Amino acid sequence: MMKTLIDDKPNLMNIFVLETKTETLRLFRTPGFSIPTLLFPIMFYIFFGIVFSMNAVTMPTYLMITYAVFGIIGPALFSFGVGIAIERGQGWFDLKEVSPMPASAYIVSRVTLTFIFAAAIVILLFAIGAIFGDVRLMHWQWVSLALIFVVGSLPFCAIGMTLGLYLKASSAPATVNLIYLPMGFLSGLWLPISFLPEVMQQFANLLPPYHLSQLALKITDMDLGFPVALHVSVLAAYSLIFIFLAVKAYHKKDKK
Amino acid sequence: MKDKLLVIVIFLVAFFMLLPEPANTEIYDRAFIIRNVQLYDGNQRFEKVDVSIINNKIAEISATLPAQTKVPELNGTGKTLLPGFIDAHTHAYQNALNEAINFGVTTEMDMFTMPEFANAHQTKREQQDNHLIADLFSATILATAPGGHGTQYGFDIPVLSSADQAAQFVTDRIEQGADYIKAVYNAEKAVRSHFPSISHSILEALIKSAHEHDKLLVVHVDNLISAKEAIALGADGIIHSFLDQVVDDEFVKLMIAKKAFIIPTLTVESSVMQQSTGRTLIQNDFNFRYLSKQQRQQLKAKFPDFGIPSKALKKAFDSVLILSNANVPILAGSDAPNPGTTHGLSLHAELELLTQAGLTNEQALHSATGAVGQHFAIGNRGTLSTGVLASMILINGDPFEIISHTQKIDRIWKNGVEFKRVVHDNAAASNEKLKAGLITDFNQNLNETAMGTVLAESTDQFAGGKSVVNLALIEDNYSTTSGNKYLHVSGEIKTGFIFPWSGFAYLLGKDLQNGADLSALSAITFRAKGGPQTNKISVLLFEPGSYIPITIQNAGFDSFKKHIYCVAES
Repeated sequence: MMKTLIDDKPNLMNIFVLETKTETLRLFRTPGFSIPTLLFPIMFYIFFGIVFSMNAVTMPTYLMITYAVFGIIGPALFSFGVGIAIERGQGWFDLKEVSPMPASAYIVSRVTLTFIFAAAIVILLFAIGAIFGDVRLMHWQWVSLALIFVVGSLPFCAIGMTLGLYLKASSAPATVNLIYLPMGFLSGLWLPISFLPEVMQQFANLLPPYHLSQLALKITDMDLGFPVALHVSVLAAYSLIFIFLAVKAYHKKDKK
Repeated sequence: MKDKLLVIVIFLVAFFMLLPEPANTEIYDRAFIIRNVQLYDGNQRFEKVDVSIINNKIAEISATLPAQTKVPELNGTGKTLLPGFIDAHTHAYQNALNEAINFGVTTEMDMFTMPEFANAHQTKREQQDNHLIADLFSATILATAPGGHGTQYGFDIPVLSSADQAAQFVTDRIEQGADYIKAVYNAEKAVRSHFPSISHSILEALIKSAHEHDKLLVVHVDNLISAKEAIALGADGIIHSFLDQVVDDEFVKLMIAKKAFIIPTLTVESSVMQQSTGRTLIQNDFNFRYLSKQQRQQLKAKFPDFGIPSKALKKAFDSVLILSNANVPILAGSDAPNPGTTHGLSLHAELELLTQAGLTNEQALHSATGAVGQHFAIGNRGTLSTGVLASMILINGDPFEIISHTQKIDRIWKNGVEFKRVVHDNAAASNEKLKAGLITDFNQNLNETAMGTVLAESTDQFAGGKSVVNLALIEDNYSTTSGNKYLHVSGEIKTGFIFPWSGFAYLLGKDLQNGADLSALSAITFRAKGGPQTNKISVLLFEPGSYIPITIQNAGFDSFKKHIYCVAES
């Protein structure tokens, strides 16, 4: 490690790894972040999906998938949204900006971090689903779901980044929660979408978590039957719009 | 660093390898064993048994069957095995029997359809390899008075105006394949009479004739007084519970004395009373996937508000409980596909409503299984005992505890073969938005419209009817310029399909499966005039995937004028 650090040319890969490592360490040492994001989806899943399940056969599988979506959105919104807002407030953001570390490292490390948290949530949910919810899926289904969840956190990283650049440090946690929780419920992540009134089902079409959950539910044949292309394009559109907004915010705004 | 990465990769691979796969993805057909399952055989409940199926038939039911290696075994722990349901009141046409089996209804008792549809399916029901659709029994055409209930569908059915026609009517029905006779009756003394009815003496003659041919006769009534008269005359069963008054002692005693049954059809009565079960059914659990677009439309459809006082529905429910407590046989029937109901799924709603009326869950299950065969000659359908063809449903749950568990269908078998439930695609085709413009000036061929694909003949022959139509492009005599043609439509509406039609269709999409996006259009405009016998024009707008029009607009047609039909979504 040390050797590579004093090389003449900085090794980009090493910077990414180091930044990710330290960020991960920091987050795990911030129980205020790691505990709620890991525990909320799992607690809800155990509660609605297993203990008070309305249908012992299909519900544990269905809700394992939707709570996994709910779960992976959390770290994306919080690590980016709240994280950046707070660092801006503390001046950390400016310090990192003037440091020789490339800006890409900042983003890459946070995306990796989100992936790690997403994977942790997915592994926990899968284990609980398989052990306590009797969820049985083919190996290709388990793996595809995990991939969809991890990659599917990207649009929410973009949303989180935009929020983090716009929001004030003090109001960020509350605002992100105000977006995260209702959006999860309205997208049919807490209860199957078909349980919601029709107007709400129509409204869910506008929300990215709904589209990610429909993509994942396709793997187990539990989706509403809309085309893959529709879901993918809505998610891609959200990603592009929010990346654009984030870039705009970064360049325009007083980052304090 | 590399070691750590390796550990992580090994952990991930191990984790995903350890995740459990479904124990058995085997198909259970013709010969298999279901172990530790709760069984309801149509008459009796067994809490935990093993059931073996050999040669498509129930071979053995016992507390524990010896271990078997030759046939696949299915673990039935926590599940309930029921006979395939029987819906004792439907109107079957189009895809009715496919829709029925998709929700575990393996037999339908039709109460009025065209003989052509019935006959084709009556042949099929005798074939053991008929495992993709439900079995059909049918009354074919019902017995009603000129202008009576049943004639309002706008086509010509034989009607009865005097008692001496009854014997011939019954013979004709039996020759056309009727399994039983259905009559529509309203007593002269009845307060409510919105349709003309056959007389007391015609009903008497019909019952006598049906019984001479060993056929049951069931009577559609909408009030208690008519039901009393029908049962007193010897009718075998009553269709519909009573919205006018709760049954009295006299009626209960009459039903017992005559050993008559009732098919209350609370599902359709709730819908008539604007309390349809349809929307809840669509939302319930995972039903949505198994409903076609047309079925969803049917479930959301509403009856016009007849202005019947809202207390009436309670009378219908109370009547069912009183009759059931007096041991009058109750048979479950949905009256699908009336507005608010659909084939298959609505029978599950009927079971729920019967328990709401006060029947036990077991009584409700009996009404849709074992009870039906005790009255109608349907063989051993609705029962599961040794030697019976295995038409059955495996339920994820316990309908004896919660009746709506019948909707949690795990597997369906018809004649010993597993029926794979049909999942309906909800994908909306993305079509280009149509821009406003001239469709055609009728100077080219009909398949050369400027927009859309074709203007073509359209009759109920598409659905098995016999109506005819002829389209011709004719020179306009009134016009001074040559080459100014118009579309001349001539045709005849004939009996053969329940909703007969004759006319032409204009296809705006590429084909029947793909619709067109009309969102940029507001209306379709044309000039038209009817001939001497046609004074009304109807324009119906359809969506792909459904035969039910999304809008119907009618207009006078007697003089040449401009018609404008709105196509924008309401």
